[in-house]
Amino acid sequence: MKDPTQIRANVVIAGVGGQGVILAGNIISDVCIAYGLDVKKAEVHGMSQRGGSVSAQIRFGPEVHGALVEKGRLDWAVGFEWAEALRWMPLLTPKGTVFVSTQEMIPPIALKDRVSGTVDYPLEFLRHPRVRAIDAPLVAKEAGNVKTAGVVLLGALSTELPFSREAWAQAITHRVPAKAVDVNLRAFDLGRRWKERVTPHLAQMPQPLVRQVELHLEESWCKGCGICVNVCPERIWMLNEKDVVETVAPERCTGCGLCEKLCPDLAIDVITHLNSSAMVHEGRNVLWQPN
Amino acid sequence: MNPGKQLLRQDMMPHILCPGCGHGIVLNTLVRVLAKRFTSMDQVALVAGIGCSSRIVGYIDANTLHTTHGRALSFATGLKLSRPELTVIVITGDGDGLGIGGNHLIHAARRNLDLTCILFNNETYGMTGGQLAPTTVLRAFTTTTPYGNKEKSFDAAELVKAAGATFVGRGQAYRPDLLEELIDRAIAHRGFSFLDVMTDCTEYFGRKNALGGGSDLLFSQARGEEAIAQGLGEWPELRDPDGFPIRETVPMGVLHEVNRPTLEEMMGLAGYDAREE
Repeated sequence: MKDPTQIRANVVIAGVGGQGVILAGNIISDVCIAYGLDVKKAEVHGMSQRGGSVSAQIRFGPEVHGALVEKGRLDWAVGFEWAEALRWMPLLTPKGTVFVSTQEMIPPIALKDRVSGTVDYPLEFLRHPRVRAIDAPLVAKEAGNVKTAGVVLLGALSTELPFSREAWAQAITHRVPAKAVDVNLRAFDLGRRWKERVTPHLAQMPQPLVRQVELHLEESWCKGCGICVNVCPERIWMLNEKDVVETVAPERCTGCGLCEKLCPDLAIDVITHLNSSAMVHEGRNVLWQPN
Repeated sequence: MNPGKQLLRQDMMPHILCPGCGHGIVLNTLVRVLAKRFTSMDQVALVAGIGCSSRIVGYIDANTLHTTHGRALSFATGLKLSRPELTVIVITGDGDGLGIGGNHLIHAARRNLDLTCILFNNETYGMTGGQLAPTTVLRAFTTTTPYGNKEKSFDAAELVKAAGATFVGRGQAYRPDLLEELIDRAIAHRGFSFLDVMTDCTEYFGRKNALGGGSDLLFSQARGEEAIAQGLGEWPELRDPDGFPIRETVPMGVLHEVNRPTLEEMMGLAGYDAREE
């Protein structure tokens, strides 16, 4: 490994608002500063509260002049969210590595159909030779708190950087809340232990269940109070000219059952079938996990 | 799918309750619990007095008694002592249980007979025309208080707890999942269990206080908690600054739970242990 006081590299952390992208950027910067390196950092966190993209670009070396990473100069990308990491692929050097969480956080606008599936993420990305996909939330849960998923990925990243474990531990201790230090250090160490693992064949993995919803309305019982119309999150009920409800878009029903439970006239039945489906998120099975 | 739907007397439906009435939601939840708990309705007896709430026993295909005003608990006491193996559930309203039958309520609680009493609290006498009930909140308008109510209302849960009930809870029509759990636990409890369920009278309480229709009134149950805590909603407006109806804050959930020998156990009644739980 290179001399940690002479290394020159560019790192990008990409994720979604609330995942701790900025915090992770600060931890990396702290580690670099501890080795006397010059660090420049640029962050994008405009829409973070609405689940929008957040990214932190960190450039470090003996001397750094600008904070933005040029195309083709990105050495490491850390994706707290799979699709967010994908955005940074064009900036990667040919030898660059991407550590990515297999977590999907689909923006509400892309989540039109919550019943039968969501938008398709490009699975080829996870099989890209430069990509290390880690089921970070699962590892974080093992550490004790699913919120430490970002630190798991930092742990994985730390194996490719020349800085000592103690320097990382000190930066984490300094940056995270006092009561969360232990769980974060555990997550960091679990992340450091990542290695390639062959995953079981697809057929052996548990298959996710897909919900199919059927709606039944006893029209003669409905008194048109409008509770279902106003309680439905998907707005699928409407009062017709006879003051009886009817569905305007039954395909949007997610089977939450609020209308059934709140119908004073017991007129609505939401019948949910759970079917195992072939629509498996295959990406979750192609994992690199720490052992 | 509501498994309780098969317990309804289909020829009686649709029921007489007004559009958007909270009682219907409690009926919906109650039959759901009954269907999940009991394999046969033969071991379940529902006893009710007089009023909108008490009408709902007529729609459930179990052993049902529709009795005199305020005396549902008295009939239930007799039934339970002669048939201790039955699970007896008393359906009563705030006017029925606290007004006309208030004395029966506190003594039933004191005796700790193994009954479940569900009190539908809609803050008014709905069936007789929206008169002032002992649960009507201060300053609310009813047909008998055109200048607003000047009397403090009963806190039914505290009253029954003080009288000696061993299980006291409060639920809302707006929160059917919580209500389902509460009814389930109340039936499972050995001893007198009491549930104060906040429901809504759309036609009288809602209309007299300009609280809007069925869904507005129902959703106001959720808004009360924060808005009133913030000091908003000067009565009689009952509205937050955005114009949405709001309600008084009341504690929810299981409020009191202790174990004490039931009257059946004290009397050594044969057959009490044979009941299906």
